Amino acid sequence: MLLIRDVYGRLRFAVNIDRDSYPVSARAVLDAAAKELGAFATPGEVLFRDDFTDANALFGHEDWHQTLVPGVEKDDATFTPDIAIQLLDRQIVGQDWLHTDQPLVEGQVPRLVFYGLKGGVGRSTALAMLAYRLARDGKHVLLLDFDLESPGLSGLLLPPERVATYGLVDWFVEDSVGQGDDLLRDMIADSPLADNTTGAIRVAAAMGQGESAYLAKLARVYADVPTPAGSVRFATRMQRVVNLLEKHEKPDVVLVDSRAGLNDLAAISIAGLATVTLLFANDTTQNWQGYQQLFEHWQRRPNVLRHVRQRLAIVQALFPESDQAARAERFLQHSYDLFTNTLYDQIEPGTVTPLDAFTFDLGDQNAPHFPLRIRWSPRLQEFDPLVSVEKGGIGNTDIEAAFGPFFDEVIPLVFGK
Amino acid sequence: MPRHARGKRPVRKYVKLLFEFCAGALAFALRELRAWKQKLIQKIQRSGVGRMQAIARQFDFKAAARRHHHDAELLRNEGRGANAGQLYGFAAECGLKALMVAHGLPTEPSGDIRKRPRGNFRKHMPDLGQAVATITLFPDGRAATRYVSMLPDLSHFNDWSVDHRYWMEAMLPSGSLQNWHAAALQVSAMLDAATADGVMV
Repeated sequence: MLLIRDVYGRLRFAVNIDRDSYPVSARAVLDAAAKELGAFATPGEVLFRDDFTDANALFGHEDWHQTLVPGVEKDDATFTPDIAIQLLDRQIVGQDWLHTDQPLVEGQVPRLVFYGLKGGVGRSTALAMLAYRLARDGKHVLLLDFDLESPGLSGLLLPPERVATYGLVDWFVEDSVGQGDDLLRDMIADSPLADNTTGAIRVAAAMGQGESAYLAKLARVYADVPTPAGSVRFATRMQRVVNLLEKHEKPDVVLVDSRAGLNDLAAISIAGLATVTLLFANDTTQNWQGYQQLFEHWQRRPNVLRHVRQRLAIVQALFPESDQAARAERFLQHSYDLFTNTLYDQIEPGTVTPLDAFTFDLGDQNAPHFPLRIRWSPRLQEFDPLVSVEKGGIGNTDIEAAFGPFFDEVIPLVFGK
Repeated sequence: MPRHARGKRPVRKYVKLLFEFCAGALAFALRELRAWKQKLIQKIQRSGVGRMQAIARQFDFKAAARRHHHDAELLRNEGRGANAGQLYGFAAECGLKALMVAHGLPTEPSGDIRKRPRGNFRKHMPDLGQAVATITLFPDGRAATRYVSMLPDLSHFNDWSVDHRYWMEAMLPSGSLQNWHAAALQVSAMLDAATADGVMV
């Protein structure tokens, strides 16, 4: 017996055999259970194979996940056991948080995704600074601005006259009518930030030069596109454009500015693109609550959890200049609690920890919960990386003071030690 | 001027007047009759008599689509391509109508698509396919294309006609059967998805 949760959140039983092969008595049990669910059940009867033209497509769908239904406390203070059930979540959006088993191709370029639950934590600035540092190390860096609803990376890294003809939104709009690939060569611009380095910073911005219809294009970006091979979802198209740009540019590393918050662009970036995701955080209740919601979503799907948790690293953004020891300790403890309660394997006290268990000590500096730190500096407020030191811009010394420790941690994460 | 000609004038005038009076009276009577009929209909509807006499639901577009598709497969496997092709067209038509109805296209008590005001959807393929392909089904941009994007090949029915049932078999575009089959399969897969989604029962 399987459960389908429909787009309105209602439940419906489904059985992967033909209707006539299923015992009438068992069907009566399911019908009665569905009736009990009342408004929480999808109207209609239990679904069987013969209710579908292509039953294999439905019962073999990639979105089936083993889902843990937590036990509940009964009146007599005992608990019902947790139940593992196969659930198919039919969603219009959001299913990409669970599409984590991206096939990693041989020689995959490292992709580092910069993500924050909320904006304003210095995510784009850190991305620009890391790009600069990598360019100084002689790397060819490709930056992708997937923060489509609040694009800003090109403003930070490109003077207006250097912005490329087309942006990522143009590619999505043109791709839906089968001519996205004509745009590829005119989508990427050189940032002058790397002009005096041995490397390059190449920027694929959200919008092209002189854009005057951005909102009209943005509204069409997320469409599923009909093709002879079937409907192509937005997630697939997003992965495709990243692959095409990588093939075109042959970068040493790709840095992705993901959209903040719990939305699909972030889901695809983190679950479907990233080799490492940096989770920007500050030590506030709303921040930890948000991450807890996301991590619990993964926690209920053991297969997804195993894929995604190895690719995360938390960043303590805007690490204040005062009271550092106490603040660092507090952040670490909150981060540890979050990861232990959700993403780490639960080890019963008194039992031996298996060697392959995904579990870490509080002070383990290689653990995903152990924060990379970016120091906050008043010099970085309203920072513009394109302004030279002579004109009041920020020099390498200031950058290293704020970002040096972060660079030292993150570079080995991306390229290995 | 001759005398008889002078004398005819007033007679002609009276005839004309009489005619106009009759026409006016007739129009008035018709108007009254129509208003009276309308009032009577409303009265019946209010009293619930109309509802009590409601016709049982006869139409089930999804079930009909499934049936036509199933039978089309049987015919095709038996080498009866001519009628298989007809049924693929009907299967697609019914599947699209099921989708429209699931998204709120108004229906008669019988379950048929409402006859008035005359809309775009009381049609056969390929006209129906064109009407469907141009609309989006959800108001929200993210979801609008969910089902329509599953139907890239509705235009395969451009050379299908409901009139094929009258045709000589030799004149039918037998080479199109494969295309009609493929497009009908897409409609069926869309029905599968919409069923799992809880959008249709």
